[in-house]
Amino acid sequence: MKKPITVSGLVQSGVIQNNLNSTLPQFKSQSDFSNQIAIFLPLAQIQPNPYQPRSIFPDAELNELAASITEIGLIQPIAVRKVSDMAYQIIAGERRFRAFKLLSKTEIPCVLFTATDEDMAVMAIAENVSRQDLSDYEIAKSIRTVESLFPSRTRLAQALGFQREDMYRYFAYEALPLFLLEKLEMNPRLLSRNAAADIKRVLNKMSAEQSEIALSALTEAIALLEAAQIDQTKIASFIATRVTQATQAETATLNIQKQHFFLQDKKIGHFLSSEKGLEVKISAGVLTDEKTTELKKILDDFFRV
Amino acid sequence: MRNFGVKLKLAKEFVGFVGSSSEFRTLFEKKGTQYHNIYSALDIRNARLKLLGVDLAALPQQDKLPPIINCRMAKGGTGKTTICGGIASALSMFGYRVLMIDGDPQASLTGLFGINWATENITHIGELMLKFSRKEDYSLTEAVRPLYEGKMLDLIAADISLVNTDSWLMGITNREFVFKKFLDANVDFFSQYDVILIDSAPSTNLLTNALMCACQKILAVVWLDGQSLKAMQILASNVNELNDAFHAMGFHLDVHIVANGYHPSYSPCKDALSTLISSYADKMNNTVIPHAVSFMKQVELFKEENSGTVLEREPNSIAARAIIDLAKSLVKEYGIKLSGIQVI
Repeated sequence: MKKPITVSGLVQSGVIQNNLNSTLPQFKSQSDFSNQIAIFLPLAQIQPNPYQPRSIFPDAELNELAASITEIGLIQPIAVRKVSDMAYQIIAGERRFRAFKLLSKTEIPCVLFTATDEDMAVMAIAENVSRQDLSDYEIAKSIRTVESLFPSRTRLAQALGFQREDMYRYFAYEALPLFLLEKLEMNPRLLSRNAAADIKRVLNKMSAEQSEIALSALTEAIALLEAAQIDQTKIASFIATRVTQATQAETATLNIQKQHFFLQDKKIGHFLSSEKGLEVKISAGVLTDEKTTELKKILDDFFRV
Repeated sequence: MRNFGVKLKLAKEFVGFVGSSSEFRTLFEKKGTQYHNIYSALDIRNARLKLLGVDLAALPQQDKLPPIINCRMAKGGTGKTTICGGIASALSMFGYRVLMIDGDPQASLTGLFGINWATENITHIGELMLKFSRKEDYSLTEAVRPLYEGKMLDLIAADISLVNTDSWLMGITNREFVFKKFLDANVDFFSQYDVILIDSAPSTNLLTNALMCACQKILAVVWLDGQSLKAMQILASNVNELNDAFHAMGFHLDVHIVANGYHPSYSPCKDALSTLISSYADKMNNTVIPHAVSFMKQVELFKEENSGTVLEREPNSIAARAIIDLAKSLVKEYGIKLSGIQVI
């Protein structure tokens, strides 16, 4: 059976072109009409932007906004997109929308725009990222919720206008231990993305044995941070130092198990037990060939059991 | 009623079944023992619901209008009816409940399904809307003709008297939305279907406008030649005009385009397709319908009752394959659901 014909296939094989200059009359998109007039939509038909990263809208601020709306009216209509018949989603203006609800109004002036899910996500984040009042942790969480809308992280970074490396710092929060994430939920400003990335890096470097020490060091550091006794930029080095100290202490205890052999007060070798294994070293020329063979035999018999 | 079903291979594809054929047969109660089976649209619907583990009785009654696909082009002969009838029978065979509305006084869609409008007693959409707007009694159930068993494919047929619609539409207020209001008023009836397909006339008139104003996205069928591309200008101005006029109500009509009649050795086809894709890249359906002889064999001139869509008559042809692929993509494009269940 012949292969089905597709537009993408024909373009790919070069049979048709998709970049001709002369084009046919265009269909105007919804946003081509948008800037003209605001329309009144029932509040009941409007939903918040599902990608909105801001989860807390302080009552005081809303009341203030509501008061100003009662006083002078709404200066700027909110921006919405149509999602289905009689259903709209807010692109920008959730605070104004909430204030209108607070005032028990039934309708709000809106301007219609067309926007894809990708657009919605990017607009919600981009609008908030540029503002000072959203924490890095909140931004990281919202990036995470929209990540699946993008084919790759590179595209995601492009859409948000981030440097790729900078975006990976936001992803560092995920690698943090659970107790810290719980603390961040309560206090999102606890750690900046740079501090989170540093902590992630230092935790990743730890071996399995070291990680326990690192975790307790982290717990200690966070307690200090909460008490404002340490700067968040210092946490990573704090952990590293603790781990190094602990490792050195351990090496010291192992050193005690190093036993030297003496021959007429002269060190001629040692027995060492460390985490790497057992080591017996004997200086050259101390043992005769017979003794060497005997030692070998003892060891050989030892393992033969 | 038409007695149509597909054989095992297509049935498995339509159900989306990947297991063995004998396992597949066990999905169908009566058909377990026979080797050669014919699977109807209703069989496929039931099998899909069974696989999804859905108890239909437990599902809430749908109360929203289903997606509407309006096949529209400002030029005749571009394949609106072929595409409309073709995807209707394909969607039905995928297990969706489909209602077709013949919105063209030429009644080609009616003819495609073997109904002779000259001899049959037909209640068309114009008559229903007229009675609705005059608040007279009308019966949708009587107007609808069942084509596939189990309400899988129904048709509101048309005849030549549908041309009269414009004359009374002229005299009523808010005439562009009379069809939309008619659907809304009968939402209980129309929500039984998973999708509504409309075959529109090529002319720009009040009826075609009213049919467009009830949907969110028309399906423009473009034949790949200069004449047809020229008509895009008319279609664009039709659509822009409606959007301009009713934007303030939150109305916006979008366009989805399918290219029809591609022939690899006709260079004008390639030129036309290049122009089309360069102009409307984000609106184009990826499937290109080929210029195929199977399409020409759909309608029998002297044995009307033998007419039928390419899927019914030559289910294994390249033409039927293109229609199946197109219908599949439209399920996504228009968000068609199985009794309200979105199947991914």
